[in-house]
Amino acid sequence: MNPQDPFLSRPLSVHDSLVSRRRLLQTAGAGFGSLALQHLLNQEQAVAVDPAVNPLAARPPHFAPRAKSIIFLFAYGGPSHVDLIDYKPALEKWHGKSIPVFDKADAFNKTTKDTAMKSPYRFERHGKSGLYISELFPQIATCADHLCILNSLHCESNNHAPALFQMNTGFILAGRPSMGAWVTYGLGSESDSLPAFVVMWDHRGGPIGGAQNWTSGFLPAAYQGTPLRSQGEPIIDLKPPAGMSIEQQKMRLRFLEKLNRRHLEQNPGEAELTARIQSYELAYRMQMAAPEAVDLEQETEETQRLYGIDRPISSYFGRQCLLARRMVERGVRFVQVYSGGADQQLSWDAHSGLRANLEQHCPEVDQPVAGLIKDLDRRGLLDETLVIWGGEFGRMPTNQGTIGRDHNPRGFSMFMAGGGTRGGMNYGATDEFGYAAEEKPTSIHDLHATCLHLLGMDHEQLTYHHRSRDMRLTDVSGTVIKDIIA
Amino acid sequence: MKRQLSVLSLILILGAASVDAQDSEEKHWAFISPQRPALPTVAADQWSRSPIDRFILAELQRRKLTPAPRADKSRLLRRASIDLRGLPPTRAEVEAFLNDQQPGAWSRVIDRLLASPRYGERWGRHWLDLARYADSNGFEFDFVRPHAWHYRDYVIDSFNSDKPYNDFVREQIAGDEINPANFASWVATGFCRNGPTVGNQALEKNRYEEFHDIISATSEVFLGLTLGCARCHDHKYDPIPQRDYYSMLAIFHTSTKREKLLGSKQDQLNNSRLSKEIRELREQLRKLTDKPTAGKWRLVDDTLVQEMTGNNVRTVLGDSTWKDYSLEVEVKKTSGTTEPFNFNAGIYLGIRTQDFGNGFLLHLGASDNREHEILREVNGSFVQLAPRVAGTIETDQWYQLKFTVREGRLQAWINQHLLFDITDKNFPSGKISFGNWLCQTEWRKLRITASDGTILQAGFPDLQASNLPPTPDITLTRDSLNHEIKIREDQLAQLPIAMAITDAGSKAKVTHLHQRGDYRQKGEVVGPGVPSALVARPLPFPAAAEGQATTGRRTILANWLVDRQNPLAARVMVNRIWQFHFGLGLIETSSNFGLTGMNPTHPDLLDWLAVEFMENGWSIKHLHQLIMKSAVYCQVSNSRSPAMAANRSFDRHGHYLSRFPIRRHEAEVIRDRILWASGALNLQMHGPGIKPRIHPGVLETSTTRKWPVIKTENFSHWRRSIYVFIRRSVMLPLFESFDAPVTTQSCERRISTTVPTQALQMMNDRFTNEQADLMAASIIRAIPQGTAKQIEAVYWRTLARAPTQQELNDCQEFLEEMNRYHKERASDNPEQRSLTELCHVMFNLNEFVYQD
Repeated sequence: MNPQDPFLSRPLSVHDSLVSRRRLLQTAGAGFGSLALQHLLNQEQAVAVDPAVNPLAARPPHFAPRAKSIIFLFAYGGPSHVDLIDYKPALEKWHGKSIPVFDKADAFNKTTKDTAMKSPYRFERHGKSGLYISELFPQIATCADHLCILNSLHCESNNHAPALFQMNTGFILAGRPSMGAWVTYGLGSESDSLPAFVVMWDHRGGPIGGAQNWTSGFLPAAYQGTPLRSQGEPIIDLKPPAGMSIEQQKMRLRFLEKLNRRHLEQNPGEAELTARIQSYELAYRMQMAAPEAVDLEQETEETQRLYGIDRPISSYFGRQCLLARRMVERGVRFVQVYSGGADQQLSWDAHSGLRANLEQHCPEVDQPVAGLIKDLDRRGLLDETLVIWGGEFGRMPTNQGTIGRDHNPRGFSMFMAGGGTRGGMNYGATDEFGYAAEEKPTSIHDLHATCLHLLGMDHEQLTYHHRSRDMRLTDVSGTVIKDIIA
Repeated sequence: MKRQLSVLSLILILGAASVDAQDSEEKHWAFISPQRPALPTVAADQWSRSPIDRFILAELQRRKLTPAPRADKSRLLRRASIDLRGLPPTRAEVEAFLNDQQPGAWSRVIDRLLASPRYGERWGRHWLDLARYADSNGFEFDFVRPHAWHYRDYVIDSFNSDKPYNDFVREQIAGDEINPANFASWVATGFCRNGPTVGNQALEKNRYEEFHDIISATSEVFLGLTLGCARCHDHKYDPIPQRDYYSMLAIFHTSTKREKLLGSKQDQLNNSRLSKEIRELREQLRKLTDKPTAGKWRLVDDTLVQEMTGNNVRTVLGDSTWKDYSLEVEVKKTSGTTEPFNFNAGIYLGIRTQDFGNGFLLHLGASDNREHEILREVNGSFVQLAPRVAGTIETDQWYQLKFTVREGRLQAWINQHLLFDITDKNFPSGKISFGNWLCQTEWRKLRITASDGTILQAGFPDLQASNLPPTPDITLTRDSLNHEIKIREDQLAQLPIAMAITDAGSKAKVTHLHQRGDYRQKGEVVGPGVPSALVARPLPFPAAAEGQATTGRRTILANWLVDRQNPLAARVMVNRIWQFHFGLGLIETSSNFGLTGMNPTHPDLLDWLAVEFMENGWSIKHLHQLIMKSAVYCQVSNSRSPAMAANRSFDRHGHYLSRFPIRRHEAEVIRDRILWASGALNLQMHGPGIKPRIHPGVLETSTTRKWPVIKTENFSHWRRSIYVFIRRSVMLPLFESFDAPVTTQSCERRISTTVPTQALQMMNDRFTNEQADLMAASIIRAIPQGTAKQIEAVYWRTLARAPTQQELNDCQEFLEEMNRYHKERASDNPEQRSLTELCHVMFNLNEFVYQD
């Protein structure tokens, strides 16, 4: 370390934190992730970048990771856990009767009643593990032995936007970096021709709060999610404008590079200028690589069927799930896919018409989700890919109107598959009604801490100095759920 | 008013006496009032041109660094022009400066730049970052703030008029109390309204979130203190007890939001008239049902022509007992709405229709003519049966449609492409229907075939003769009502209405400490006060006399903030000004002067500047002059000399200013420079924000679309970036990717990232390509012949300098190469196209987006 440099004794700045982080990795890296370190060095040789300059250069994790990437299938609107993956036979007995745990303050709508409503759907045991899964998920049920169902989640808001923000960023207020941004900040990207963090959303519209759900917040803009469209041009501005040929563009780029190189000669040592020249090379590569990456015609008919692409009900989400697999295969670090868009019945938000809602949304995702898990598995990718399915909160075990369920932040479920999680298990539990997390309550910070852990990162060490504090995805709490790790 | 003020300042002087020298040993340096330090002595100083330089040079010499050579005049002018105006100099300006050999030329140039109205637009933008300014509330609904722009204009005007910083601060905290008759003073309190406002959560909780935003912003922006950290507990590092946070809350606690109209009698009348009319129009809109209505149908030869544009115009024909059948028809759209947000507009073809509002519908050109959808309609409300598919309906083009239902399977085709294929257990029997929403259509070649092949219907009957429900008078459509509302909203937004705060009365609201920051857990009662570490004795807050409009507490705070003895306000501001000139402040953490903030690189210089600032009437323009005339500002940023290489290795990030630090332009400067180079820049100042084109694909993200779909930009969109409407949920993509701040919190310094998506945007977005087009066209208009002259013009407009001979040769070669390319393809106007290519390359240059 340079004794001339007085900045090392002071809190790290944005710039310094990246540089010294790299130093730290170089000196301390050999102990744990030497493979990853090797990768880092190769990457640096290949692109010759300083992470302070190329923020997306791959970086090794804190310790040996279980997973390399995450696919988060977000059921926006709040899927009804008690009708899907949290079997509550007690609701039969209590059907129509007031349940003692109900608290009016938890409900979002005034019209929500305190009387239990049993699930209109049958639950059965599946797989060797015998997990209870509802008949609404017949295909997902065939993956039971891969699933790690978290039954004791709880969050801090009964309102969509804050709960979405919390699920994505750890905080109910807007503006914090999303988990995808934190992950790419921590690990960089394995791909030099695709964005590190991509987001796909429902054909009915994006989730409430839009881009605030995949923002980089106070992290550099490089870490924000890039929207990937499953129809038409996959990335905005990916293609040259109409009427311009690739050849023409190449001529422009060659000339640009020539002038930029000459400018660089006059400004020796300016790493940022080098990085910007490289960013054009990367952009050009992305332009070439992205259309290939989203070309589902390369997949066999059998694979397409596996994802339900052949059936209109599941074809849209199926395409997105297949795209998600193609993305992680190509080194994309974090993929988020939303099912359900806009609001009310167009999302999983079944305030009224619970059956219509679930019978619309479940068949849309059932085959694609199951297909994704099976496809990752048979390609040997499931071990290194963490698949997460769930929404921003659950739904009340009581009824709203005649057959509807209100938002429930007190207790809800999600499931994970692969990425080093144990398959065929339930973790934690809600009370007998499915109303509130009771056994091993799991906060969103716990969930996030666990995701980072599976990626080989310590959530307390993954920090960014901002506004005089070392900020974390998990704020000041979060415990890794060790029990679910295989 | 004056008398009242002087009494207040007397109280201040008594209360906020400077800190005893005795305990200053233990105090953090930043909490002690700055005194003007002596200028350091430096050895063999041929370099210094201002007192500032002495401080810099002393530090450089201590570190055995040598300053970099002075930059040449044209480079200096480019630097100063971007720095002060956010735009490069013109060729004439550069030549005038080069020819001015008289002493004081540099100072005169700085004066001239400071006098430009562009200066306020450039430096106002810096302040808006700090003030977390936006034109909407944020969160899920992200409602528009129609009057927020007055604050933006207030900031621009304040910088332009060199409003003394102490007044600038006072007005933003307490303008309503200090000068209630002045509109701008009310507008200034918008500083306390700029934060995001939470949607529909518990009201009290919301309000405390808003107060938290005010307290955090006020303490960070004006004091460089992170007081917000003490909301839940005593500050972990700084001597800020939790109580201090609630003392600050007590100052703001009585304040409420106020949309203050301060205009002529006519303005007031207009305000109430417009508000009333908008209410009425909204009511009409609410009543305007979307229930289908019969249109005006006419049979011309064999074509059925629909001649009315309205909401949901339809007709029904056939037999309600028809079971499985297939329907073929051709349709042409003859006109349609171009208003955005008409998701229902388009063509409707229905089958199994029982009556007007029940049946299955194929809807073509949904979602602003971007998609097709299939719906079931039950009593006038729609259920979507399958995901929408992408597709548009072009005007004046015939489309073949086919729709079948056979044994519970429903399929729909357009031009032989299968659009939808769904199965359902029970489709009722029924007639067919045709119609359109906010467009007009023609239909022909109708053929309905039963499943056994029997033709049920071929061609259209004359519907005028048939028995249709009466056509109600629907002259007012949703489009026109929305249009009427928008006209009035625009007029309302122009009225002098300040988005302000003021107190609910003279009686202050009781403030409690909130345990763990939870407003439901009220602790002891806390009185108003300023951070205790900054004053020797608590600052008195005498209660306002009964009958006063406000508590007066904010005025006391405001006056204390900019009191000569306040240890922080001047230091914090001079450091910010330094930062905006050099990229980094003398203290890098420019909103945190507390113990966790960084130490100043040049503490004496900071204090010297702070005192100089206060003693010169808190004039910001005086500081610009001072800083820019220094030798340190005029250094080169880089060179290939060995001395520079040595400097770079010992002063890696340029913290000690052994050179002028190079940095990338902010997003706004990039956009403005492109517009300036193309000649499209519209320099109109002030007024409600503008909404340039955003790629429609980006707008899909948001659930309720919050930005108009702009087909083609025009002059009204090409205003400076500071006038772009800031919708918290929909940022201009160019701004977003080039690190414009998220407006949820005060942003003290922008970070700068480099990623390939920025390059994609600069290479491929319509904006850069259209502007390159415009630029080439305007250069050719001015210089029809001679590529050398044209290239020169390109260089002056983009880089504000002449090309070197080598660059001229390279550009000529490139133009020839592109010319050949375009000629081979027989493109029209190959010369202009080639010049467009060159202009576009220039926008992408590092030199174009970096300040050096």
